[in-house]
Amino acid sequence: MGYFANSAEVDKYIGGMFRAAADHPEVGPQMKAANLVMNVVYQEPDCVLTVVFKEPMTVTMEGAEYKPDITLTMRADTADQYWRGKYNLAVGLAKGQVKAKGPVSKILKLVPLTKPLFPVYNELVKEKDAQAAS
Amino acid sequence: MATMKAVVLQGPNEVRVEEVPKPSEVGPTDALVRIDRAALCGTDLHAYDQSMPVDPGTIMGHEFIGTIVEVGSAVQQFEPGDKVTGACIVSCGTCALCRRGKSGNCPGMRVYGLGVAFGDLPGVHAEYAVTPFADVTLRKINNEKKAEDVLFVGDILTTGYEAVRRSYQPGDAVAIVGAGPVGLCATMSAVALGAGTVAVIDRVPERLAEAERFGAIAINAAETDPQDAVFDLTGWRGADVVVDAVGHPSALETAIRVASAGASINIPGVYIQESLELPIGELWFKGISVKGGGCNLLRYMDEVMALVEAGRLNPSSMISHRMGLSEAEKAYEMFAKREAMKIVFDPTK
Ligand SMILES: NC(=O)c1ccc[n+]([C@@H]2O[C@H](COP(=O)([O-])OP(=O)(O)OC[C@H]3O[C@@H](n4cnc5c(N)ncnc54)[C@H](O)[C@@H]3O)[C@@H](O)[C@H]2O)c1
Ligand SMILES: [Zn+2]
Ligand SMILES: [Zn+2]
Repeated sequence: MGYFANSAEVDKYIGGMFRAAADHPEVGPQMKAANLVMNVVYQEPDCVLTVVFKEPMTVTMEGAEYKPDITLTMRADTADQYWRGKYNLAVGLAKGQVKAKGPVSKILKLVPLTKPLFPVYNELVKEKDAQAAS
Repeated sequence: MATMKAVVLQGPNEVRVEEVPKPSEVGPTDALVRIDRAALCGTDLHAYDQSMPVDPGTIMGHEFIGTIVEVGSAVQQFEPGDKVTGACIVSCGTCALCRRGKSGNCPGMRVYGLGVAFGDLPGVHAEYAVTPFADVTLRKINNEKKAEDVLFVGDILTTGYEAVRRSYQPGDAVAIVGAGPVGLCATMSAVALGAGTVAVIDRVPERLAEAERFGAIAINAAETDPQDAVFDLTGWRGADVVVDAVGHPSALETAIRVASAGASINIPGVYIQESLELPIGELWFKGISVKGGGCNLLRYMDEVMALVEAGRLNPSSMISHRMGLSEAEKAYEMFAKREAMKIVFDPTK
């Protein structure tokens, strides 16, 4: 089984990280200024996370009414590894493990904003990791 | 003076069939051709609705097959009685650009039936026409059974073919925006050239059904996002070769969205507007090349002719109406309303 048991966990951890990002002093304002909608289509568990990079920033699972500017797709485990800082996105794109659709210029502006969030994510999953270990 | 029937532009959205003088002056490199069949093309509509200013009094039309009646003293390849078709863009064949395969940009380029701005060359929606640079622009029809297919070699078929062929590698995924006659010619060319996925995007179900008949996957932009559909068909890579066979900003936007990184976007569709806003960051980062312009017919006509005579390209199946030239006024009206896919005139009727 993958790291996340179900879509609610994807929402709790990855979604939670984006929610926290909205208030992050460094990347929050830049994310809100991006003015675009991103869908991430995950597999195992199959679910879609929609992030609206606007003021206010919103993060929702499934059935969002927004038409995405950018769509990414990957296994949820890949996302988990990425947010831990252990997965190279370029390698993933080359292997086809991560696929992207939408304006490259916008994607290139968003990607650098993710790195300051790695510690935020690691903090969020700490408790889940500890449970898994015991 | 001998006269003939011809379709003459009167003004916006008005043509009339008139008796006009039969051409009598045949220069040394010209041929006089009796027009056996002529077709109506999307480009004729730019003149008809005056979105491209063409002077009233112009004899319309540029797609034809015919029989040589007389040749000038310097013509070597043809003699009276030969069945021929001809490039609708008449290029000299000898200038620096023509010699390098860029005949669509020949500085002396003329187009039949588009008035003074295009060299004042009377059109072929008539019983007779003079064809300049006959040795360079005409092609003999060897297989008369294919004459109705050859009718499209001098324009839309080669135009659609070039739009794929000029930047094509075997197995490429090809996406064509617009399933009008030009888009369908690009479609059948991509299939004949051995493309991988061939996807055609339009909003008109009947036109998409035609595209499917030619071996393409139809994408109805009214029902699905073309980018999603093309990405799904190509493992999220996008199309290697994209053809904008429309000539409208909305089509170009779609073309850019469905293109893969490193793609070529070829634009046979005519853009008359002076400027457009383009996502240059997207085009730059993805290394997408964009090419438009009139077709380089002299470079590709022979390839296309060979494929037509071998039965690999069958554009005549697009013909929806066969009419007498005397019915031209009605034909232009129908064509402008997109009630007909392709209309072919018989000048004897
Ligand atoms: N470059 C050349 O040498 C050359 C030669 C011949 C024709 N042309 C030009 O090619 C163009 C097409 O000619 P045609 O006879 O096929 O025209 P057409 O009008 O019959 O076909 C255009 C098709 O595009 C579709 N369409 C319109 N907007 C669209 C959009 N945004 N997305 C998807 N589909 C859309 C329409 O439904 C239609 O089926 C014209 O501009 C014509 O002048 C250029
Ligand atoms: Zn034409
Ligand atoms: Zn020339």
